[in-house]
Parts: sequence; structure tokens; C-alpha cells
Amino acid sequence: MLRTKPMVHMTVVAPKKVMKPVVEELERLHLVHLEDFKDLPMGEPFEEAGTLSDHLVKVRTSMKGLKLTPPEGTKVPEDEIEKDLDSIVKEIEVRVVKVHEEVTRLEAQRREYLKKIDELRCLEHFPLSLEDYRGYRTLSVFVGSVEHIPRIDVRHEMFYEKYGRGYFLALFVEKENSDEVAEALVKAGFREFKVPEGSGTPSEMIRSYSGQIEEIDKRLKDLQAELEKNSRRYRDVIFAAEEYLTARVEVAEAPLRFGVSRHAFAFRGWMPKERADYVKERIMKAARGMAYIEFGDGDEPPPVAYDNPKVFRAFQLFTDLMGRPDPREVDPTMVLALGLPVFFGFMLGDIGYGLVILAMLYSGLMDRILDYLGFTGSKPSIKKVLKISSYTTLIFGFLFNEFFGFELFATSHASGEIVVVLPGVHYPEFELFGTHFPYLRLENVMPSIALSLWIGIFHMTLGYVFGFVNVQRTHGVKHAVLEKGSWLMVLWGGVIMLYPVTRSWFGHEMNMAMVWTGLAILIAGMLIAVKAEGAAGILHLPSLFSNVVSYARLVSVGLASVGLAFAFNAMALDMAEGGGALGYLIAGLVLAAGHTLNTVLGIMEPTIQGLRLHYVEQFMKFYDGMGRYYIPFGVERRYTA
Amino acid sequence: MRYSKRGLVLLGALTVLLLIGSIPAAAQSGEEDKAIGIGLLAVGAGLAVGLGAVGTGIAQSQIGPAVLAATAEDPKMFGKGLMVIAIPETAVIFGMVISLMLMFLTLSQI
Repeated sequence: MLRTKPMVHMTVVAPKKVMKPVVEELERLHLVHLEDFKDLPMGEPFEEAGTLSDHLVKVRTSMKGLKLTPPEGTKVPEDEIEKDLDSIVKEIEVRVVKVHEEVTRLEAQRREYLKKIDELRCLEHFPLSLEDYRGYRTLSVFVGSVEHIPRIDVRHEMFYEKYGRGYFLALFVEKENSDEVAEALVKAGFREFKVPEGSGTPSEMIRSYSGQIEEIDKRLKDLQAELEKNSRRYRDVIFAAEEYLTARVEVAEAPLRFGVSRHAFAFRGWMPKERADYVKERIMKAARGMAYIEFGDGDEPPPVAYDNPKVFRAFQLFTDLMGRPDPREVDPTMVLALGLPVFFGFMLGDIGYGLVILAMLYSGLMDRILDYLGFTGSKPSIKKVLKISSYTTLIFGFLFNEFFGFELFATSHASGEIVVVLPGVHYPEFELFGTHFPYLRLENVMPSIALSLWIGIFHMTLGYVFGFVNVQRTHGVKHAVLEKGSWLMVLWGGVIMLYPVTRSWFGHEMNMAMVWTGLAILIAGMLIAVKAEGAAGILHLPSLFSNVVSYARLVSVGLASVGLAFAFNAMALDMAEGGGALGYLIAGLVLAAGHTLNTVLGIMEPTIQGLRLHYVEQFMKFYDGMGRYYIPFGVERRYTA
Repeated sequence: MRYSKRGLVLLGALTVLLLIGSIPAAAQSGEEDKAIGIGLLAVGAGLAVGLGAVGTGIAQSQIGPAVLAATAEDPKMFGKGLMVIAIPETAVIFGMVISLMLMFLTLSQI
């Protein structure tokens, strides 16, 4: 969990004649992260690489053009594709790619005709044919738009029409006067218009283009229907073929990463330690026993694969945002997986909003939103994280007795200021850790802040403990104490020192012994830190303080969300009370708009702030995230069986 | 980036006016003193969080685009970018804590 998968380095040498079966086996295994082999000359791709790549390009073109959604659940047997590969690709090309190309071509033509019609419309009202605008030896022709009609003092012929805020004109003058006229036109804000080629009157041409567009539309309609039918029909095959071809191309190009001599080939790679024996056995079998396989630690740090239980895996996405852990680093995914939903729930803490998020998830609305926002790839993880977070929101919502800013159940506390949604149902009030539940956030602001700071102190302590482990793994215990232990002492020294001080604000007597002990620990920690980092270490002290205070955002985001909901409810209630039917209508609109806004904020803010508390306040204490991704050779089969 | 100097001066002047305007009417009875004190505390609480937010906003308005640009080039920069964006938030968080302390700690003791 807190560690990534242990990896082992493998070197394989085998005779060239078994290269292909070995590569195919590697691809099927989908376990070995290949490294480039630099000690021997590079190998050459297998001969089918070219054809396969061509096929792949065609299939991918069809996928891209059609914007297909991937099939779910259906799988096409791989041998079917392998057997009829050429005919399948040909069919996809003819039925899908070609049709799509034709559609694109017709659409482009349609756009061009529309543009021409637009241009011709400008000339439509002048009693001239298109050929009248060109071909003169002694005349200059100006056609274009002007802001106002210019004064022309020489002999001329002018047609004009109102056009936008100004005019559209066609002006014929003798060539020797053209410079003078051009100057006058420029002053009138002249913008030249290029008269379209062709003959006949503009109206005739517009009619002809319109006719052609109609024909194109008819043809497009047929083609699009055909394309839609075909893309539905071939969707599974297209995805399966793409997957199969990607795998085949990887196989065909694998020798580029191998070292090859006259009779033998060699490659290196990494794999999870637990699968090493299995991989060895399979490679040996593929090489018919003619391979030499050696395991070791490798020269470079291994690529990193996560090793988390299924429930935590969705959160790996957020660890990756900061970078993969280094092989010797603590993998913080578990902390994120536990911390993020709790922070989220604590901040939003409202049964109503929790239910709305769940409804969005189950109705598929969230899928559409995530697709729209461009999160298609990471959608499953984000949805899972939101789902877990919405459950914690429900739990905290129950503890806070909140429902869209109202109180959900009746309590003995009833202040009368806040509306109770279910006055008939009584909240099962209880005491836990000396706290009375329901815990009303708006009435317990200072205790909530204190709680949030304690959460912060423990959260950061965990960060320092991880930091200690990381440094100890790489540089030993002494360095760990100097670098991380010192700051842990500073943090806790500060806590021990300030705790009695803050309590004294609430009328408790100040325990001076604690203050002095805390100060002593803080100074000792600071001295160690200065020894490790130099005098600059002192500069970190204020940031440590601001880190702790930063956790107060857990309360403030929560209060903001309650406050907003409360404000919208108050507005709506006022309107409903005073305004009759119209009042109810407006109240309904205010409620709908207000709570929609609050839901959006309620999803965004706790996620971002929760992540930030992890990334900035905690991860900075221990995390580098400089690990390489483990990318096993081969293709994960999703659409082929 | 340029800010309207006139706007800032106006904002400052209004704040000062608001503060001064509430003082002269005071000093008549203990009850009124208390009311004015509470009012000033509330204004202080508002200023603490409001000015903090303005400062954070100005800083983030310049960091935000830079981080977006960096993330567009290399999506791996997202996490680090978020961290950099988060730094000026300290100002508003401190303001908020002060504000909440004024509202809920000091006020309750008056």
C-alpha cells in the first residue's frame, strides 16, 4: 500500500530464429517494461511492420473522423480479425473512410457555394451581369463597400445600395482618372470586393448555386445516414481492429529496442518481482528452451507501478498529478484516498448536496459533464472519487443535520431561525468525544476552527513521518533526524507552547510549564534544522505556521457553502411569504438557481481545497514524485478476446 | 498589469469615511460605545477578509495564466502549478482566521 511494487530487472539473450515467438509472447504477457538495449546494434522491424502501420493509419482515421464512442462489454475474437484482416480493413476503408471523406468533401463544397452566394447577394441589386464588371480597356471598375457615398467630380457611372451602416457600390470611371477616384474612395472608407468569376446575372448564379446546394444536401443526407448505419455496424470491429493492429505494430517494431548480432538478439526490461518466475517460464517456452535469462537490480532506478488495494486505485490519478513516486519513496495514495473524501465531506457536509452528487453520478449526467470538460480518460477514477466523497458528505451532513442549508430533522435545540425540513422526525441526538450531535456548524465556529487546526497538525505530522521514512531509506537515520525529525520537533514544540496560550483566551489558566517545555522543544528542533539546512532554515518557520493555519479553510469553505445555501433559502422564503403565486414562482427560481450554483461550487471547492491541503501542506514535507511510469510492452485487451 | 489608481483611492477614502463617520456620534453613553465598538469590529472583520482576498486575487491573477500555460505544455505540471497558485492564498486565509476570531471570539467577550 504505502510502497510501490518491487521490480526486478531482466536481461534475455536468445537465438534470432526464436525472436518473433518471444516478442509475441512478451506482447501477450503485457508485463515487461522494455528498455532500449544499447550494447549491440539495433534490430530491424519485422517485414510486415509497413503494411500493418498502413492498416492502422486507415483504421485510426476512420475512428477519428467518426468520433466513435468506444463499445462497452462487446469483444470481438482476435482470430476472426487475424484471419480476415485484409478484408476487414478494406471494408472499413470502403464503407467508412471513403464515405467519410466524401461527406467531408461535400461539406467543404457546400460551404464554398454558400460563400459565393453571400458574395453574389451584394451585386444582386445592380442591373449588371458578372461579365460587365471586367474586360475594359479604357475603364476602371471599383466595387466594394464605403462608409458614405464619395463625391466624384469626373465623368463616371455609379450604382449603389444601402449596405450595413454604409453603402455597397460599383463605380465605373475612365482609366486616366482612376488614381484621383481611388483617393476619394479611400477617404470614404472604401473596402474592395472581389467580383466572382463567371457569367450571367448574379440572381441567375445564386439560383444555380442554390440548386447545387440542394443537391448536395440530398446527397449528404443519404451519405450521413449510410455513415451512421455503417459506423454503428462496424464500431465493434473498428475498435477491435485498432487494438489488434496496435498490438501487432508493437510486436513488429519491437526489434528496434533490441540489440541484435548475427545470430542472436538480446533485450532488457523490468517487471514486478512477483511475476518474474512466470515471465521466465513463458519466455523459455516461447524460445523452445533456447534462451539465457538473468535477473538483477539494473543500473537505473526501476519504473514504478502502484500496489494499492482496489478501493484506493481511483486516487492514483491524483498522486500522478504530482508525479509518480520514486521507487524508494512512500506512495501517498492511501493518505489521499482516506484524507480527500473526509476533507470533502467535512467541507460540504450536507445531505441534500450529497444526494444531488449521487444522483448526478447514477443518472449519467456526471459522465456528460466530464466528457464535456475533456476528462474522458480519467472519468472512471474521478467518478469513483466523487462517489466515495458523496458518501462522506452524507455522513457529515447527518452529523451536521444539514439539508440544502436547512435543518433536516427536528432537534431539542430548535432556534427557530432555521427552517426544519422534517419537523415530525426527531434527530437521534447523542454525545461523542464530549461533543453534542447534531453539531451545528454556524453556532460552533471557533471549536470547528480548533478542530481543523488539529486535523492539520496530525496531517502534517504524517507528512513529516513519511519524509523521515523517505530520507531514512535513501540517506540513513541520521539525515532523517536532521532533515525531518527537526521540523517535527519544531511543529510539536510550537503546538505544546501555543496550546495553553489559546486556551487562556477562553478563560482557562495558562500552564506556563507547558509553554516553556514547548519553547524548549521548538528551539532544539530549530537548532537541528539550522545545522542541517543552514541559517536559511529559519525562514521555513513562518511557512510552517501558515501551513497549520491553512487548514482553517476546512471550516471556511464549509461555512461559505452553508452561508450561501442559507442566504438563498432566506431570500426564497421571504419572496414566497409576501408575493402570492408570482412570489412562489420567483422563490422557486431563486432556490433552483442558487442551489445549482452552490452544488457546482460544492463539488469544485472541496475537491480543489482538499487536494491543495494534501499537495501543498502535506506532500511538500516528503514527496518528490520523480518516478518513471511502468509501461508494460503490449496492449491491454479491451475490445478483442 | 495596471490598476485604476483612482478606484483604489476612492475605495480607501470610502473606508476611512465609513470608519470616521461612525466615531463622532459615539462617546455619549456606555451602551452606545459598545454598539460602536461592535460595529467597528464587524467592519474590521470585513476588511480583514476582503483586503486579504483582494491581495490574493491580484497575485493569483498573474500566477494563474502562467500555470495554465505550463500545464498546456506539460500536463504533469498540474500538481506543481496548483501548489504555486495556492501560495498567495495564505493572505486570505490569515485574513479569514482573524476575521472569524474577531467575530466569534472578541465579540462574544464584549
